[in-house]
Amino acid sequence: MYLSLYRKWRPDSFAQVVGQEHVTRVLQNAIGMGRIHHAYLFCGPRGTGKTSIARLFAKALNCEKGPLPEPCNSCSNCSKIKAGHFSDLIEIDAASNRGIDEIRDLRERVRFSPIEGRYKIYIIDEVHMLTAEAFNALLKTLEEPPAHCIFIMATTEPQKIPLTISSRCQYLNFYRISFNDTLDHLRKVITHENVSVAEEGLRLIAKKAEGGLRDALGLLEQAISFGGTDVSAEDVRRMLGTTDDKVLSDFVKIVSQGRAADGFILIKNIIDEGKNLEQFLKDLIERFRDLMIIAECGQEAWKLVDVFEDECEILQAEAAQFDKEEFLKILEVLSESVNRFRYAAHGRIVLEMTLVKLISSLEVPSVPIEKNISVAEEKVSEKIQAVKESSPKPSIERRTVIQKDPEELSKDVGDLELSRFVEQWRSILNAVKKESVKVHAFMIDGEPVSFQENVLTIRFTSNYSFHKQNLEKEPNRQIAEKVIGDFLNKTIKIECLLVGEGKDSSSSGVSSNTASTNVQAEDDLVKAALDIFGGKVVKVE
Amino acid sequence: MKLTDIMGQEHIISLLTASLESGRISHAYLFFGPEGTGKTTTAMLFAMALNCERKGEDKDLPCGICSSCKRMKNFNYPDFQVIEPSGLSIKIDQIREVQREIGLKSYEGGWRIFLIKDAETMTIEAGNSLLKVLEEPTDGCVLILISHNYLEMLETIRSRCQLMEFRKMPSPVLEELLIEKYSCSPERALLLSGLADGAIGRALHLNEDDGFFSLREKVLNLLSDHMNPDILKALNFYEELEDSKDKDKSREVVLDILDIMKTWYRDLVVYSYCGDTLLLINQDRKYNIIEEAKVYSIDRLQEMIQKIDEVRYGIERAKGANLPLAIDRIFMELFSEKLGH
Repeated sequence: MYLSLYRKWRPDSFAQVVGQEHVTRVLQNAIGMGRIHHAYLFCGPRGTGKTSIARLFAKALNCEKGPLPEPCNSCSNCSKIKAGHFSDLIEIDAASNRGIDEIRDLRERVRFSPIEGRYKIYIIDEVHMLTAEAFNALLKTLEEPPAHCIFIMATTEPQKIPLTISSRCQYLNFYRISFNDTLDHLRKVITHENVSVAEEGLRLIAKKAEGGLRDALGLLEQAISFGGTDVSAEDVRRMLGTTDDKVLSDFVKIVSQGRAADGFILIKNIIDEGKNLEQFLKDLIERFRDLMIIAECGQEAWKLVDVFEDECEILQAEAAQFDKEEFLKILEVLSESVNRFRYAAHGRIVLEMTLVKLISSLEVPSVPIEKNISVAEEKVSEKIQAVKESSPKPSIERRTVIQKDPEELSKDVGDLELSRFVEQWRSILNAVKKESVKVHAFMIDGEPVSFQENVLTIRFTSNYSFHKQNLEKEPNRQIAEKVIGDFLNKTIKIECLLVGEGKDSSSSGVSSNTASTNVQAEDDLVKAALDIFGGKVVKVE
Repeated sequence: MKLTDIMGQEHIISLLTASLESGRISHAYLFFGPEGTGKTTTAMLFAMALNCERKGEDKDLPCGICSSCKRMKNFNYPDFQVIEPSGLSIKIDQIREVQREIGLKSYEGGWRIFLIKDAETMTIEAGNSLLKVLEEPTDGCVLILISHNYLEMLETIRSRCQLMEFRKMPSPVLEELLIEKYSCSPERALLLSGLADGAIGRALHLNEDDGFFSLREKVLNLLSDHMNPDILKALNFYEELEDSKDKDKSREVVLDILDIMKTWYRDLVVYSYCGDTLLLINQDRKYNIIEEAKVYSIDRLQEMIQKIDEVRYGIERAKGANLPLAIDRIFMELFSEKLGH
């Protein structure tokens, strides 16, 4: 009789369990020390070993050679449990026997002592499906069962278990099985089964299994049925319908460059190859998630992303195409589309509209088409018309402007002026040079960083404290202020600061006051420093 | 019909025939994929092949003429059970019945096969109560689950089955098939494969469904007549359809109308971006599309598609949705721009 791989490879001993050491240790120590709790609750995602470990635990407790941390697997009790007809191991499918009557029945039978073994063990699988009445009927028994009785409950949905139940149990949480553990296990299985599967194929399977070992073994079995004894990576890819990395790269490029037309053709090609579009969308999400992590986490990223070494460079280049906001937008659009797949009949159109949304949400100028321009022109002219017709509108707008926080307003203006300074700094310097070569020499190493309420702040790096000091002295400062003032047609003041004084280009008017006191303090500091390194200062002067 | 006659699902057929040969038969399969891709047909053929009397002698299974095959085909085979939704869903009692049956011995000595159709309609209780037998049924049992919406199913069910993904057919293959076997003209084949989105069952269904094409004609005429939009005609449109009075058909007709609309606006988007008619679905309406594409902005088109999706989603969710109202609403939405002028 042929048996599925995932049934064939159920662990026979705690040592064979993959990836749940934190659970097996608790159970083995409990047996070793004789501190066996009367009720356990196993929680965790599908395919992580809940039922398998429950059976193992039952075996270890009932092994003829005394409760052992590791069952002997040779005595008659052990082999009966393995074959599934041990009379003191009662496995209950709580999803099918979920009513209060079944639990009443159970309560009655709990009292009888075990027939063959040491303990009478109840494994209640899928326990989350019991009805509320059934749960409550179980409470008393669960709290104080007869000494020979042990309950093991297993579920994938612990949030559905009443607190009164879980507080009476030892709660053991099963983890998803890691990518590497899955991969190792798959390697072990294929050597024992005498088949060869390409390493890349195994990786694809392990990735697709998403932490469920049963899923991984199921997929492996399918791959073997598909490819025979020698399974190539291509076989696995065809079986899973995974998208080629090249296609994903192309799609990323198309999105980043906003080439919708090429995108439609790419989608058509995917369809013509008979690929599953939903899978493609999922692969895309995976890809953009990887790219976001690479862009955001630097070197750490490679621990979080399952990729082959030769892909690193390509991925890094792709990741650099987008910023954080864009990644968030992309992932939002994509995950919304995944939901759409459930109800939309035309997968192709879902994907195409996703593409259009991606491109328009990134606001990459798309390939210009005359029609679009003319539509836009029409719209603009419509808007203009509308504005002209509705005259009271502007006054409302003006009022809203006035209501704006004045500080914020001045800041906006300041930023605007500052950018003008930065742009024209060179010509300002030239004008200063015409007036005074000396002042120009002091100013040339400075950098305009803020312009607030007619006060221009010039920043110097600490190497240029001498220049700063001299620029602050009269009449140098007056000359500079006059020239710049003439340049702008208004009177301005200049303030200087050294880098490291905690003031940067984005500081507001309020903080400029504190900054000036800082300058004072810094001056004292500088003077003190100059006192210590006096020789140098003398030489400069 | 043999397993190897199934078109466009080579990855599944080769797997199934290989496991028939090697005897690596899994105890649980989940056949999933879009509607009209051959899931039920394949499941039937696979079930027949498992118990075919010529198994071992013949490689091309099932033979279809032995007594076992014949009885399976007519659902007269005692070891072959088909479970279908009773009403809108598969109930827990139906699954309990399966559990009871699975405990029994084979009547004919071959495989006992349980075919669960529309498996995504299992209630949560039904699905959960299937888990234990699905994982470890009695020897000699095979469960085949069929679902066109497998995301709706419990993760714990999916994890217990061999997943057989039915895919849409590549459009060139589908077109070739339509031309060669169903004597379609190349133009019609292209149109059909586009409308059916690669699902062969759907394409064949459409090919024989003149009602659909006349419906499409009416809808597209309404949509493309942008020079003098006739909202009254649009609002009366649904009432005047004959099928709308038939309770069973009306739902399907409404979904068809929405799909026709959606492919239409999709074509407009694609044409606006590409300026090329190569990728259009409604190939026979190229000139209308070129004209219409001038009227709308891409944003507006996207908005319309979204509206269509919303209505469709609402209808799929609510079994008792008011269908005439849904159609009226969508026409109002689509014509809102034209009405404003």
